[in-house]
Amino acid sequence: MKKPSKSQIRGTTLSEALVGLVILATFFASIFELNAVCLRYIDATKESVAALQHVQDRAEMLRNLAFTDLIDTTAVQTLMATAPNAAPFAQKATETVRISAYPTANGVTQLTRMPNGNVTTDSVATDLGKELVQVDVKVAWTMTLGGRARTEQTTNLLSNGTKK
Amino acid sequence: MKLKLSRKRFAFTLPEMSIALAASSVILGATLTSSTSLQKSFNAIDNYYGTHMQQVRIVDYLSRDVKRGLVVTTSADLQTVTITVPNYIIQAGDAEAVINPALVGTPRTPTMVYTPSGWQVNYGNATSTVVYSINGMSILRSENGTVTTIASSTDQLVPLTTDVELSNTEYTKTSITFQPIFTSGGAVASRSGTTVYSTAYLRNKRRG
Repeated sequence: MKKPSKSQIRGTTLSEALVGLVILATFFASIFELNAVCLRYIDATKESVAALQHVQDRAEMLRNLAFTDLIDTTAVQTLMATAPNAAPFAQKATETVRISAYPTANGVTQLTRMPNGNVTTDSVATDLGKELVQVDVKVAWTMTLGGRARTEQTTNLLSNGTKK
Repeated sequence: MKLKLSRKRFAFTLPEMSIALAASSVILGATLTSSTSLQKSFNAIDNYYGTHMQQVRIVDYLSRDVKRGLVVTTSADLQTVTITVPNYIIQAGDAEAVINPALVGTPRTPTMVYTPSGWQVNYGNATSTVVYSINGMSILRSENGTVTTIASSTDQLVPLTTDVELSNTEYTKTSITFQPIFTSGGAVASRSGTTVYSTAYLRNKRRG
């Protein structure tokens, strides 16, 4: 009969147990971090969707203006004083609206809405014409995930139509 | 042959066993608890993301119909939206289809009329009725009786649509929420944090 070797009869040493414990802890720390990253990605997705809706809703509001108001800097500034929707995203986004005559621009009217709701007129176009304008709406914000700068924007060509 | 017993081959003592059992119980308990909570969390994340996408789909559908709508009415409880849209597509039984059945399902050619306030595009007098409603946990879109499930999940997707008519235009403001399945300390996560907002103007109302 073979005598059991020394290594076969000894138990787990403290250092072996500790190494195992560290590996297990590292594994779970990784999984928990992965879980946390998933949660942060969801938050980032929500931000992106909110930004998209912000831009689209503002474009809708501008599209709905009478053309005479659309080429009036004061009217646009008044419109922009109100956030396009009730989402809290507006409190962290900087919104810029640029309006220029299309297809040949003669200066650009640019207004900026800050996260606190203040609207400033950055520039006023020399002439926006009477028929067709290009309207650019852009929002910029700092992502919660990674603190990266993000933007979302859209462009519309709006003609001088009439309302009912 | 009789083996010589060594002290190193003795079994564990009761205190050693108790300590090992306690330590392994703690580790196993932590492992099981962690695994369970992680699985719940991943499930909640998956559920949240999936439902969030459904919110976006509802906004897309509703905005498209509202933008081309002639009339939008919202029920008093803000849970049902009825939209009247022009018949953009030729349907069986329409005058064009009677003359040429091959035209069924094709876009209708509009007529343009010059009015005192400008050009007006018309798609005929016939209209379709689109209804958005909540049925249990689903949001349904019904167009002339044909029902499409826009969102279907175990969550309560609740669109609140307000139809606002101004002196010169009309628009709807929509907010869609759902109840996430996240919990924290036994408390259910807030519904308000899931809100997606949308605004859509009735473009056909702006015609001359």
